[in-house]
Amino acid sequence: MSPPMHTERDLLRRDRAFDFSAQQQAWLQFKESMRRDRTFDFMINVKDLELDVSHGPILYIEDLSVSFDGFKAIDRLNFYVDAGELRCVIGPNGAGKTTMMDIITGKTRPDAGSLYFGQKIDLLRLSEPEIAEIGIGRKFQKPTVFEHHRVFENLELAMAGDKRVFPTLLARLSGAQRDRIDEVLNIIGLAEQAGRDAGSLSHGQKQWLEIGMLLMQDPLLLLVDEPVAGMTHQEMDRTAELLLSLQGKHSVVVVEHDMDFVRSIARRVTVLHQGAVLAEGSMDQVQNDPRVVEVYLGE
Amino acid sequence: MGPLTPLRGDSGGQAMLGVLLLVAIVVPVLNLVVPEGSPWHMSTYTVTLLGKYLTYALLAVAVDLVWGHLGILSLGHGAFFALGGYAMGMYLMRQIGDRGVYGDPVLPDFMVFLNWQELPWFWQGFDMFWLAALMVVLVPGVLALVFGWLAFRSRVTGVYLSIITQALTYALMLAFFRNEMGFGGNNGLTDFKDMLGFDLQASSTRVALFLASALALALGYLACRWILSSRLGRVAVAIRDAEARTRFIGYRVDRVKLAIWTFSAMLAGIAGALYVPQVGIINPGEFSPLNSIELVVWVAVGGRATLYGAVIGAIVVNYGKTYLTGAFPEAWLFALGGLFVLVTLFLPQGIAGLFQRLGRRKAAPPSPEQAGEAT
Repeated sequence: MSPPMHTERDLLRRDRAFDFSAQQQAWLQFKESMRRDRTFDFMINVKDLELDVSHGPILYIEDLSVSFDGFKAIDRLNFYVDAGELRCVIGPNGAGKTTMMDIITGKTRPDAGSLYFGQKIDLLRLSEPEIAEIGIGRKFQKPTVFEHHRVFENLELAMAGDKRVFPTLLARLSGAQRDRIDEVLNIIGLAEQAGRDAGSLSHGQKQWLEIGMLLMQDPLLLLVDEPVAGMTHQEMDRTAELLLSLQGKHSVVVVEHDMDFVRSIARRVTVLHQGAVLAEGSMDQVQNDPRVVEVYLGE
Repeated sequence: MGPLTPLRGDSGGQAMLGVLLLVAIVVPVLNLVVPEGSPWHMSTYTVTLLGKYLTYALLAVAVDLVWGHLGILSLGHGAFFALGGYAMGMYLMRQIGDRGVYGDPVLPDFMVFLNWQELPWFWQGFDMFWLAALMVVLVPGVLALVFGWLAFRSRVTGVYLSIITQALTYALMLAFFRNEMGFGGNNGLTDFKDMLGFDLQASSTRVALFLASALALALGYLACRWILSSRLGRVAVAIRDAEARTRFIGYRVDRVKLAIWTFSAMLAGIAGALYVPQVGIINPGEFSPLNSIELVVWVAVGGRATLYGAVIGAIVVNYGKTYLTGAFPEAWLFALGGLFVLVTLFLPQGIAGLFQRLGRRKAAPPSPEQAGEAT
């Protein structure tokens, strides 16, 4: 028998439930917009924001805190990423790694603290699409590709460009854009699957497609959440190669559980624990840190 | 790029529009040319019935655009249909002039009956066809824009959104039932005489309205296909499948939804405006929540997310309704409910899905190269 229509399932999905936090956010934004020193902020166009990394870091997180129902997921976190750096973030379950990414991409709003992209762009005042537009891309923990679209179309949708309604309606692929998509298809090794529905890809292929979608966005900062979950060793090696080739041109933050993988790519590693930084340094330094051994590696 | 480019790869839509063209040629001939005594003659009643089905089909296409391709299950699209219908009804009321029962040259009968002395402000100008035609798309469009802006900005989705669309149409029904609203209360607007100077009872006018409905369906269908085959259409389906993900790659989901939702409401308004002169009446019953639910059933029966399936569903279910309400009046609602259950269980892709499955079984399984080329 055929599966049931997916309407009923959609109707019951929890993540589609009424989102009260939106109103709350709107109110916070309103209060923020009424601050005397920032009255005309709403007139700022995202495109006019300029990234300033003259002091080195591309991402500044300072004194950031957020709690859910009293649980402090992020607790006065300080974290900096240099421009062009490839940084690995590790930590036990519940250390706040994914929450940190949620905050950077605007999905979760923090209770306190500051979050700057370069020296000048305050990320807390931007919406999710705006954050994507200024150059922060994210790969999710669970690969979410558009299953009913072909692989090629997934990359097309992710491509950097004017994403407002009418330009999107009238958009045509230029030759250069088509070439760029083909190039990314080759980088992620899915050139032969370009015409297939993304839903029919294997788990590892979906992970790569996600990375490909990130590349199409051409972000300055890539947030990559567990890129090798569910991959074979061969696939992991390819992924490591891919991520290493990105550093320099892009800044990359990788959250990963697999220690072998982290060792194979990382220069600097940050260990998160209970929502704060426990240790930071090279893989060897971190591994020999007794506190780290206690909470994480010693398990 | 020709006007038919959006149909590329849509064999169901090509077939549907082909049949529609054929019907649009044959029906006028059978009605106007074939003499009345001949067994081949088609009665004006049947022409009007078919015209009514075509307006329903356009309405179903509008619903499938937002439900099948954007993931918004609207249980209130009947409201936009009825508003378009009322705008047209107001024009037709003003055309009656002094031929009404009370013979007032300006005021429609129900206003004279209510002892109103002058025309309310919102009835001004409705004696002009162009203004009425504008209002047919503008009123549903503005309502959809305001409603959608509030709902999508607050990220109301899924069943919650469906419920408030249902509440919207119910609230409008209650409002239009009130005589003080100035839209004829529970009797609505009726007793129309003519439109653009043509007698509404004449066969030729009925055939013209039928042809206008067929044209509106064809153009509306092509417009929807055009949107869906653009990148915006792919973004819409992406929103249906993974809304948060779409937001993270930089699309303003609320605005995409708002644009397509408003367009869909305008299409529904046009369908309503063509429906009213053919059935000769518009009353608050058209706002009834049941109507909006029924039309979701049409789309489900025809095949959600195929667009041409919505056309098939609207016509098949309404033909069944016409037949059953004539032959076994009590059975209709049971049949409708049963049909919905059966389709959900055995034909999740609707009638269109059945066609596709039969077509696939006949054709040889596609080779990988072919599948790759189909981009």
